[in-house]
Amino acid sequence: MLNGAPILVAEDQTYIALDLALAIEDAGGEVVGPAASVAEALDLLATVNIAAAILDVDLVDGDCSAVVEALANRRIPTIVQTGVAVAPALPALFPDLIIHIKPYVASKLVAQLETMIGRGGPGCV
Amino acid sequence: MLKSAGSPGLVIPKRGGTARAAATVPPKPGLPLIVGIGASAGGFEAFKSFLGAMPSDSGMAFVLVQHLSPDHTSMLAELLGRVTSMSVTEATDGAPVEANRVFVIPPNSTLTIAGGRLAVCRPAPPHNRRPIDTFFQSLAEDQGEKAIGVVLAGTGSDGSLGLAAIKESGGLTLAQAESDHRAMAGMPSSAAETGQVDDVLPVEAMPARLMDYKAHLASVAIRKGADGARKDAGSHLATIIRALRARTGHDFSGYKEKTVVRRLQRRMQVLRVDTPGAYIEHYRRRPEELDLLFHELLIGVTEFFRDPAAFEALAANVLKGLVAGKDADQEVRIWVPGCATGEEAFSIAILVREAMAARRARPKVQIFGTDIDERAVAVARLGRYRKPAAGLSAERIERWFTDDGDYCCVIPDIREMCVFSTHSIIKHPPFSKLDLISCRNLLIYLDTDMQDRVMRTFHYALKPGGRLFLGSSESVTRAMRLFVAQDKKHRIFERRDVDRAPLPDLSTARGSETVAAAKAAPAHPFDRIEAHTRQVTEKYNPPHVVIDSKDQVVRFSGPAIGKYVALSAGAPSYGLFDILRRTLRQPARAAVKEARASSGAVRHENIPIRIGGRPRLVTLIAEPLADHGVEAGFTVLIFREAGVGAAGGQTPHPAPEAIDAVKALEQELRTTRAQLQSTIDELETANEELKSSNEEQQSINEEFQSSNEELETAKEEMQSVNEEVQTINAELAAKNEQLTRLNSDLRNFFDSTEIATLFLDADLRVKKFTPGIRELFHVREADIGRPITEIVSLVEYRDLQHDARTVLRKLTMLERQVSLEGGGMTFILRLRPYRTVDNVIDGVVATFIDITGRQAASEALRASEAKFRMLFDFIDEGFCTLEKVDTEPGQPSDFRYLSANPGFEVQSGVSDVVGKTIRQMFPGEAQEWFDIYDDVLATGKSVRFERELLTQGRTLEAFAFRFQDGAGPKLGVIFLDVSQRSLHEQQQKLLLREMDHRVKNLFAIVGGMVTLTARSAATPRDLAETVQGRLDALASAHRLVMPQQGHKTPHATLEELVRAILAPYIEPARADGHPRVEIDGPEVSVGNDTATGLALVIHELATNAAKYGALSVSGGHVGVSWSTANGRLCLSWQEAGGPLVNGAPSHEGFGARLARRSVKGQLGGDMVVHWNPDGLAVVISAPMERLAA
Repeated sequence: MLNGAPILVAEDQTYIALDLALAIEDAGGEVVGPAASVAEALDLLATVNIAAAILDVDLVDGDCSAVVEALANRRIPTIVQTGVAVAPALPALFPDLIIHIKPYVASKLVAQLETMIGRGGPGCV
Repeated sequence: MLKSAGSPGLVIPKRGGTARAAATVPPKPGLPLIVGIGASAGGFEAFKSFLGAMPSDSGMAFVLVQHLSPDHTSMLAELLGRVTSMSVTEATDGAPVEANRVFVIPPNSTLTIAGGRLAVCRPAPPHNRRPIDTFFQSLAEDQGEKAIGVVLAGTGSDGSLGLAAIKESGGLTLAQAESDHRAMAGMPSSAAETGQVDDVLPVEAMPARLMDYKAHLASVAIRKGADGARKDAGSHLATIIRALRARTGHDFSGYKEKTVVRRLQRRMQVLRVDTPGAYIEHYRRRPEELDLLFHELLIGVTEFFRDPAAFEALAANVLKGLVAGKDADQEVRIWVPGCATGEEAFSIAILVREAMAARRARPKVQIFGTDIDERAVAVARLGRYRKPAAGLSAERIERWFTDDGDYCCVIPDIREMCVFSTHSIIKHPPFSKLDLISCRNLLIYLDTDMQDRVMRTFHYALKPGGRLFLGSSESVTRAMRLFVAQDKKHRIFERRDVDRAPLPDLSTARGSETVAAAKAAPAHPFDRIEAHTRQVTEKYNPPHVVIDSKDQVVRFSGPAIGKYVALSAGAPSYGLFDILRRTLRQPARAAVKEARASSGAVRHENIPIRIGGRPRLVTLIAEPLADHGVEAGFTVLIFREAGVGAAGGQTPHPAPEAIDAVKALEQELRTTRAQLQSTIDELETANEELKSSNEEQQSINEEFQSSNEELETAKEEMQSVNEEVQTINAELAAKNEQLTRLNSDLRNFFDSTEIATLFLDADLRVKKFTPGIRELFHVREADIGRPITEIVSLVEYRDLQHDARTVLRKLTMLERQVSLEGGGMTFILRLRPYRTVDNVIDGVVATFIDITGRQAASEALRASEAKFRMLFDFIDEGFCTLEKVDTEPGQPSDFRYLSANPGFEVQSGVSDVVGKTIRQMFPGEAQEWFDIYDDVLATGKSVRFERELLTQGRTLEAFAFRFQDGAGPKLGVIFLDVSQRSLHEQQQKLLLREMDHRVKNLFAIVGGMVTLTARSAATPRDLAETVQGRLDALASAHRLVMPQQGHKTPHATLEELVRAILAPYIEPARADGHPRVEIDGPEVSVGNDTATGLALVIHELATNAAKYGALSVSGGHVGVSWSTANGRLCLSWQEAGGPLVNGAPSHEGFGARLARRSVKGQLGGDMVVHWNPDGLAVVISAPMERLAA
């Protein structure tokens, strides 16, 4: 269980964002966002304390590298999911980043988040 | 003049002339005959058969001399030992030559003989290439008449000189007959040519001849004196010499008796005649023997520059000064008496020429070469000598002779200096005003008396200060008064300028029986005292004359004889009866006749004659000279006047009475005498007349004879001319036949050739034409000779005249293409100069070659080529042909463009490539291109490939293939620029990726949609319907923003999107005819990303309206409208006519939540919902920029 841990969701597709958000809430987590754009996500990061993040690569105002970088700087566990092959820059910059190719079942993502937060293990960039 | 230049001097100079040598070395009776045999190449066979046929006890010794290789061990002795039982040994130095033995010359040595012993000198002097001559000459000197020389097979002329030496010294000489199958022509024929060979025989016949000769020698040996000369020859010598003189006109009475006897003896040996008497018999039967004897006496061996030192001295001391002292207009006169075959004369000519070499002004040189031997003079005149000519250095041969096969010839320059003639120094008057007389080895043959005469002749002939050049063994000791020695050693003498001695009376030589008689009686040597005494006593002797058998006076007693002699007018005569006083002629004739008949003294006494007007009585006494026998025929006729001698005592005194009678008788006698005298006179006159008429007759006869001979000659000439004419005729006939055949060949050729040919002469008149010409010109046979310009031509060609003249002027070929008028046929016309066989230009030849067919073919070819060219030029594809460029091994390969079509530039972007290479035109192009081409060229396998052309930024699809043309394999490449196509393909790929992305996204969205919908759905049916509706909305959005080819992000308009989502609700229309849904707003573009969000929002609103709002009832109405302002879109959703709305629900439905979330998240906008009672109103506001994304 997430025990009320704040989880950032950055996803511009409404259905997916809502699905993730509800899955996180179902798991007892608190959804931060969902943000549809990089700017929005960075805003949230700056103002809210979060425990983990699930990001879509393509947001409405560009790819999520800036967000990943900010998360990495704060060593927050992050999962990136994408519908396309990830631009090679990301894995090169953050070798430990967990990347899922869509479609991916939201509940599984949340389960993975639980373990990542629990042990501060992989994905903690 | 006779001259013998006996030649052993060549090899053994110290021995001097052969003649003396032979005369001083009489062969000893007991010693064997020594046979020297010479041979060279091919001589072995001849040796073998010679020895095989020779009896082994012949009593002769044989010495074989062969040309042997100097470094080769000779097996000759061993080989010859098998064919004869005689002992055959190699000669050793000092070995005595014994009978019945054979000696063989050792290799590399010179073999000579002296004192009956062999002398071997080793090694042979390098320049002595004549070992046979050397041996023969020593043999001649050593053995005299016991020497026998035999020349067998061999090449060259070695042996010839040696044989001459042997012959000269009295030996026998033989040569192998040329017809003999074993003969090798050179040496034997050379020897035979010299005339020194006694017999030419086949080799098998030689032994018999030698045995014969030996037997003869033995039989005459007993008659020989201690000096080897025949004791009995002398007495017959005078007869023989007389006979010789009668036959040849040359008198040998002045020659040394021994010389003459020895030569005579040789002839006798050759003839195998034992006694001089028999010899005389022989020549009387066969007078030509005298010619042989004459030539025997003339045997001479001579050579160029014999005694070189003497000649050098002559050149240095005499000739140099002689030439230097003369100007060009002066003459140098030299006499070479006894020149034999001319070698001495030419030697001097060469020396003179050499002395003149440095001088510019050259005096005229006249060298008179004379000899009594006509044959020798004839040889001299030829100036042609057999090689190798002895005595001549190689330089002189090179300079003064020309090569003529086996002979060498004196060059004309030298030959022209010399004049050769037959001349006897004894008989004929000499030349005069001479600068030099060279008379070598001639005096030695003459007796001292004759030598004196000759010296006087020379003195007479020379200019003051003139020189005399004698042979090494000759001297002027007896003529010191006339000549002084200038160079004693080399026998050069200068004429003393004493009172010019009178020319010796040549007539004495002519009538020299007395001299001969004196010589025949050696008991009366010439003695001056005696001569003087005779002059004195003559005064007291009775006058007398000596006459010969032909009544020719040979001696008068003295002046006193003049009384009895009366010279008559006319030619002088020695005939006794021509010069005696007429009164004495008759009695003298009677007395002489009587004396000859009785061989005793006859006296005719008291013959009365008148001398000086006074009567005298003369007694004639005639008596033959008994000592000399009948042959001499000399008779002395003595005149004695009666008053002086015993007449007084013998005349009786007559009685007086008888005196009258006597007087009467005397008177009668006188009358009778007078009558007789006149009769005699008449007779003599008649006789004279007869004689002269006889002479006339004789001369007429001579003339007739000579005319006859001339006629004969003319006839022969005519005959030979006739022969020639006949031959020429036959040749002409044959040639004529050939010509006829050739002519018919030509005619056939003309008639059959299809090439029309026209022959024109230099004036362009028709000479000849082939039938084909008739198709081109209106020409007939009768037109031959007419100018071509007058003949109508069917050819369109007006320049024929001009062109023909050009050809004649430039002598080059001219070619034109002409057609028949009116077309149809085309010809190549070639104009060439007409060259006769002698390469003389004589007109023009015009040939017309029909090329109509060829023309058509070439047209067709051109057309086909044009078609191909068009294809080549117009195809869109690039096409080029390439050949591989020769590059250094290890260097990258390259290809040169042979051709390229216009498409090449279009497809490759590069132009003007022909002649350049790929690497030049496309520098830095990828190596793979070249590898592909190399492979195609190597394997011949065509290949289709696509490659990027980096330098042009294009992608080409190419087809490369190999083809063969004349010069080797070539490469053809057809290619197309496919850059555009590949760009499309790339776009396709991008599109696919985009689609992939969207599909994945869509699935993610759908996944989320299902999960979300499931949270609020009451029943599975409900779930299914809701999901279906939402999917439809998604699908509609997708349809609108479906990516199109070429447009990465297509934009739909907002109206299209709204209309598509609301389409299920627009129909059916309301009952009142009003539309249920009204959509209105300006055109706003909707981006791909926002389309789905917007579609879902509209969908959620529509679904809500259909469930609960205006669309759930039939009279409901929805209006969707939007506007843009300040960069924002403001869209309003207004429902009306639906169920009454009771304020906002307590709990926001899932749909509303979803819509709000979308507007906020995806569109970055706001959504405000107004729960108006008459219908829901929703206002959405969003930035335009987000909308278009």
